[in-house]
Amino acid sequence: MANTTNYNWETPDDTDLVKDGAAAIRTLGSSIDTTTKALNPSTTLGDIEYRSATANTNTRLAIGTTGQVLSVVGGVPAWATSDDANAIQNAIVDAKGDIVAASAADTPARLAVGTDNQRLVAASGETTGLKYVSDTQNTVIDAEGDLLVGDAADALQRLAIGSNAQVLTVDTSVDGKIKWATPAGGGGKLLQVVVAEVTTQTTIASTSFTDTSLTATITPTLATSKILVMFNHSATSDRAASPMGFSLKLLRGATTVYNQDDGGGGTFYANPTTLGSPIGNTFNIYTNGIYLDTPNTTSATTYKTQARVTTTSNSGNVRFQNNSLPSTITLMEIGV
Amino acid sequence: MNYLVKAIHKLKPTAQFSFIDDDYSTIKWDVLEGDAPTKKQIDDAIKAVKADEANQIEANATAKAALLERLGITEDEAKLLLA
Repeated sequence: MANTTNYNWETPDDTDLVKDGAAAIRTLGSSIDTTTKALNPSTTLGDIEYRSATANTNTRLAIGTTGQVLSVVGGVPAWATSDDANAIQNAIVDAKGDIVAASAADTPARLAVGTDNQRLVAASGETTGLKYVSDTQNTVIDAEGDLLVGDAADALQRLAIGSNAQVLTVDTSVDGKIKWATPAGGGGKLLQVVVAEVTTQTTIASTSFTDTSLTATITPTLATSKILVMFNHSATSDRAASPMGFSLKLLRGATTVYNQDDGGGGTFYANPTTLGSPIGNTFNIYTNGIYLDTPNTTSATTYKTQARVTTTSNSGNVRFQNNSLPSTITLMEIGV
Repeated sequence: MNYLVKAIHKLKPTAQFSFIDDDYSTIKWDVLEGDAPTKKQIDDAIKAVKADEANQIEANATAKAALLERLGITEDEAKLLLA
């Protein structure tokens, strides 16, 4: 006799003489039946099997009841009643935006949504330890440049942006105790500087005041500001006789604000007693001027110099920025 | 020496004006009798001014040499007298 590999069923050997074939078949059939039943012990709709401690033998697990979940008890599967009471229930939230927070250990609770623009903050006095509060930092601001200042303990208020060149100033008499204010008097505050360098060679052969090409523009930040104007002019006066000279003046726009003209002879004047050349005289000079102006404006303001020669006879002329020798003009806005 | 100024004054002795970078097109006239001179007229006048200048220098040198010869002294001796 021989046995099958997996279930050890008894079968005739290849060389056996089958004397009683029916008995051999019955023996094999009985073995198959016994094994099959051991592997498939289910008897009822919904039954499931799992492997028992015995080889080739399953254990039947009868179907559980409605709502039960498959669990493990004692190392084997078992149907168990679910513990929904300890799960977060759908019913805990009531509205869009509700959130679930703990009110104690293992205790979830609903926190209703706040109103628009509120923010969530920790609040130990609340059931959930949280609460929605108005977001002052967002809603109190109305415009670009606004600032937040304290209004009281834990309270903020808006400080609207000030105007150009104002500074933050403490003032205990105003709400918030801080305000924007124009800098107080005292003078001498340098607010801005504009410098222009000019190299445009400009020749004037006229007794009428004429632009020298030296110009600069400043836009005062305060109407009360002073403008300190300083210029340094390169000039070459030329005439085929003596004397020779020229005069300068400073203009704001079309208005003369500083005049170095003496009415005829020329402020910058030379009268060589000996001609340096049989064909003419030349003198080179760097002349300067300083003037403190009060333009009373916050509009762009242009300053420039003009010049005229003492005489145009004998080809009298003055050349500014001769051979591109630079002239400069500096405008300083001084807060007062 | 500003040849453009001298050239204009050679053409228009009473003219008053200004200009930028010796550029004829920038001339601004303050006083001008008659029509403004053309660029060619001014260019020609500049050549004439330069020629006058060269002639003047040469004439001055000739007169100086004649004077020194008439006085019977050298140029260095003349400088010494003037020092």
